[in-house]
Amino acid sequence: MKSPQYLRSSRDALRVHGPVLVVFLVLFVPFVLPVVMLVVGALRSAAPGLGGNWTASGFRTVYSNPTTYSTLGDSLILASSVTVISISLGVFLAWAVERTNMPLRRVVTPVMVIVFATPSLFLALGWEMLANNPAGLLNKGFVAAFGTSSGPFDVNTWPGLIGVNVLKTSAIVYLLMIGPMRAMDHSLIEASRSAGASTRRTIFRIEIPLLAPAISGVAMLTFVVMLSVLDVPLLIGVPGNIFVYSTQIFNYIAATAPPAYNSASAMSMLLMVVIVVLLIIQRSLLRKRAFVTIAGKQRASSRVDLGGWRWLCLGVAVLYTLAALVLPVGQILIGSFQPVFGVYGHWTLENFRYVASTPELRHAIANTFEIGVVAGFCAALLAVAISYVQRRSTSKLRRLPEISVWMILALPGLVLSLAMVWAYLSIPGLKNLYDTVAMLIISLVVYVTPVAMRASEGAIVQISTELEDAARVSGASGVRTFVSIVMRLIAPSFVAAWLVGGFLAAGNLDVPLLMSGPNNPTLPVEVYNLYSSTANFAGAAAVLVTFVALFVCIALVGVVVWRLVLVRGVRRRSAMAPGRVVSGGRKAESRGDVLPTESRA
Amino acid sequence: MTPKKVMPRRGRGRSSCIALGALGISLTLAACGSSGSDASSGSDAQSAPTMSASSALGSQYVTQFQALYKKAKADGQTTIQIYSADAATNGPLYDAFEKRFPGITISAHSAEPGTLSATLSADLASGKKTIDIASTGSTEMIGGAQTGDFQSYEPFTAAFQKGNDVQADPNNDIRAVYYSIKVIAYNTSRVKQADAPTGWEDLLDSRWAGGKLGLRDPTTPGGGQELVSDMLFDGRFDVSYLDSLKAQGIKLLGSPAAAANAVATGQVSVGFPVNYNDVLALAKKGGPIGYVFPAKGGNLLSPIYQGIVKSAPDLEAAELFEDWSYTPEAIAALNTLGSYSPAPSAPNNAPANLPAFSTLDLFKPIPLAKVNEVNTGPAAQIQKIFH
Repeated sequence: MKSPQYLRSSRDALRVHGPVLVVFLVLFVPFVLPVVMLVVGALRSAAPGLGGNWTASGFRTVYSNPTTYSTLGDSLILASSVTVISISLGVFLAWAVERTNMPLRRVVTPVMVIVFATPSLFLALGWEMLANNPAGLLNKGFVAAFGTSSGPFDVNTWPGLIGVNVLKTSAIVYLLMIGPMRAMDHSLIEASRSAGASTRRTIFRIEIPLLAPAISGVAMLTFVVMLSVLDVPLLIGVPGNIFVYSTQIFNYIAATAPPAYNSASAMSMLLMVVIVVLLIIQRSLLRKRAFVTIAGKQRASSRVDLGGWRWLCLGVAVLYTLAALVLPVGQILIGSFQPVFGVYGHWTLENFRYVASTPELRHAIANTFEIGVVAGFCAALLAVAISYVQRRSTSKLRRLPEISVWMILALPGLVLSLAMVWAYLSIPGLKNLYDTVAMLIISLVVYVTPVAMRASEGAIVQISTELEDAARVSGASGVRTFVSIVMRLIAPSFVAAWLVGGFLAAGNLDVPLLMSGPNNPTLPVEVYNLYSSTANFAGAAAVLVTFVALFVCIALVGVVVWRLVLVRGVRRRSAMAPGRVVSGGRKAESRGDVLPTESRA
Repeated sequence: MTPKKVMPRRGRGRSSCIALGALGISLTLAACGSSGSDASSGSDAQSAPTMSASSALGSQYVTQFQALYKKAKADGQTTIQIYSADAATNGPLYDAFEKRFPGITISAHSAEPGTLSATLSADLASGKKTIDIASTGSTEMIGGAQTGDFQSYEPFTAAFQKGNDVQADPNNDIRAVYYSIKVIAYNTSRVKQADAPTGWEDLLDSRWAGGKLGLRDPTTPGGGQELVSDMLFDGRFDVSYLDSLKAQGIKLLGSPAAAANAVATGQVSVGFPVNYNDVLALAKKGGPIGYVFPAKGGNLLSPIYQGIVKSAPDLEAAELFEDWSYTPEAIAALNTLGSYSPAPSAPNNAPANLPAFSTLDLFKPIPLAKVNEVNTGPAAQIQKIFH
């Protein structure tokens, strides 16, 4: 007997919209509820849960204040400058590593990983010590070398603020672009060359358009992150009288008595509007260029011979390595062996004794590792699930989960942290997690999922539906198909998303600042306490050095284990099967795609 | 100086494996190096001297202390959770308390600017109620009192604060527990002691122009804002002074510790107002930093307020700490930390090398009820000058 029409329609609607709605429901409490609470907070005279009345005074205060618009202008300048420069630098270096014969190109990726893993606070602190005028080492060296009365460097300026941010974001851009660069359909490039196009023409007419979705996605991520960045502007900008939108939001909380949470929330909402508009613009632009795709056969392509220019490329890479790694991290390393950070001439191991003898710090180090591993994994899993549903769904609502996730990026960490506290403490079960590591992990998963999505969604795009269809026809359930087909095929990108998310979660300061208590201290919070509450900067440097040393040890062990597992796996596979089918019957290439591969159009 | 924090019991086992690595690396490094005799541990020197109970607590209060101590212990209140802006530096103070009252320990957590109300309300909303006492500057404590974060308590050792509109609010929710001392710090490699500015007026001298001066950001709560507010409220300085200061090409400095470090590392030749205890800590480590406690034109002391949190889980123990905070023993510990006590009964209430509290030429104190008005009244003007 045939089902009635309305039942069939309902079933069809459920089939089309169901998965999206399920994902949205899963995201509602962790992602959407904080944003809802923020809107509520903007319209209340006191923080949610503290009584108060409904009022629009927060909006009136914020949007009648000229400083709102001047700082917004400054933030737009900062975000635009950093985005343009870091995209140029990051994409250029990814291209030089992947597509050219630049010398020492294998060293670039490890450098980028280390820069990425170094907390911004330390990058900024390192440069504050290096290029402060007049006390910075670079200025002292300049004065000593040229006999001038003062040096030319001053980090507490616009170029300094932009430059320090560029150093960090270029590493993120590079890591997010290296995969797409590697996964480009090289047959188009070969065709262009065969047709007589020059290298330059091929780059601008073929390679860059091929990468447009990935570049625009990463550019948007960078732009949005820079709109809400707080730590570097506080450390580098404020001493130079440079104030941006996020520092103004921070002032409503930290510089107003009692804290004007409604004004901070109202101000943050403008950022959310900006992000939604940017998302719409980005999607609209890419839709018009839908002919541009990256997925295709991964034919090996010969590298571009740069001739003498390869040394120039190497020079850029070396300069970046010096500026982003050697100089600031070297400064931190030296500082960790000084009694007073930045005062040279005396050496001591006291700071490391301090780390060893302070239980709170050891507890924080352990928590931070736990957060990095668990939050990174959960964020990667969530990111894959959201990307997968969105990619496979034909529902008109499929953008809903993505927008929910992206909105979070608009909120400066401290505001996001407040919104999360308000939201999660209103849920009976979740409130029991207050003052636990679990609460921090949930919050940090929310914070890093947008970036993990950026790192994983490209891999989803690349998977043909043929294998999944085949699995379903063979009787596999949806979950089994997802786990045994999709997850296995995207494993390298999943690991990349895990790593990226894990680093970001472990190094985040803003979110745990409100949620970290006696039972759940984290390393960034402890370091920040040392930095802001005591004069023990050298101790803070020693904490970081200890953490990095531990991280390197664990990473080395991990690499050894990974290689052992890999070798055993390859041996087993070569004994059992002739090759691994990826899509449409083609064999996978053993390129070890360890980073995100592509952005979707 | 070692931050005083009690290791949460739940975390010890879980953290031990990874922490062992950190410990191993640090100990290995420490074992093969120099002794670092000028380094940061200063707890020995800063420990409060041992006193008899009657001289430490005041003979008239010993019985009350004993009764409260007994009651707190009988109720199983063995850990006091303190949320304080100075948690990382108040270790010796907490040590002295723990030594006086064995079996009751203090777990102190740092309070970051702007987070007091949010943290206390979250603590209450979670139902866990972990915090017993909060302690930080006037701005945030007043905000907390206004939102009902604290409960009324009048320490039996602090009767002198009754009716004092500067030191306690009318409901006895919060009260001044010590004064943080602010000084003009200078880099001894760049400025000779004889050439250092001796007061606020000296800072306008042309030799300090061109980025040599660093001022704690006066647009955010903290020493910079207090200096500017106190100057204007006191009346000895007006806005034209601030304009002149700005014209010197000053650099704005962030946290108190950042201000002290900026001076020690030579980022600025002179920084103000800088925490006296930060200067001491850096100088002890060999940092080239000296200080001037302004002899003329007004001394700046920042009152640090304290209050028992509403529904504090360890109420009797918290009250015990509040009462103890004004005893001769606590005053001695505060002095060694580089702070003044507000208690007038202590004749030698002064950190080493500083004049007695009773002799200070303080800026006119601001009544608690007026602090917000005094701070926020000229805020727009200050923001315009310094931003």
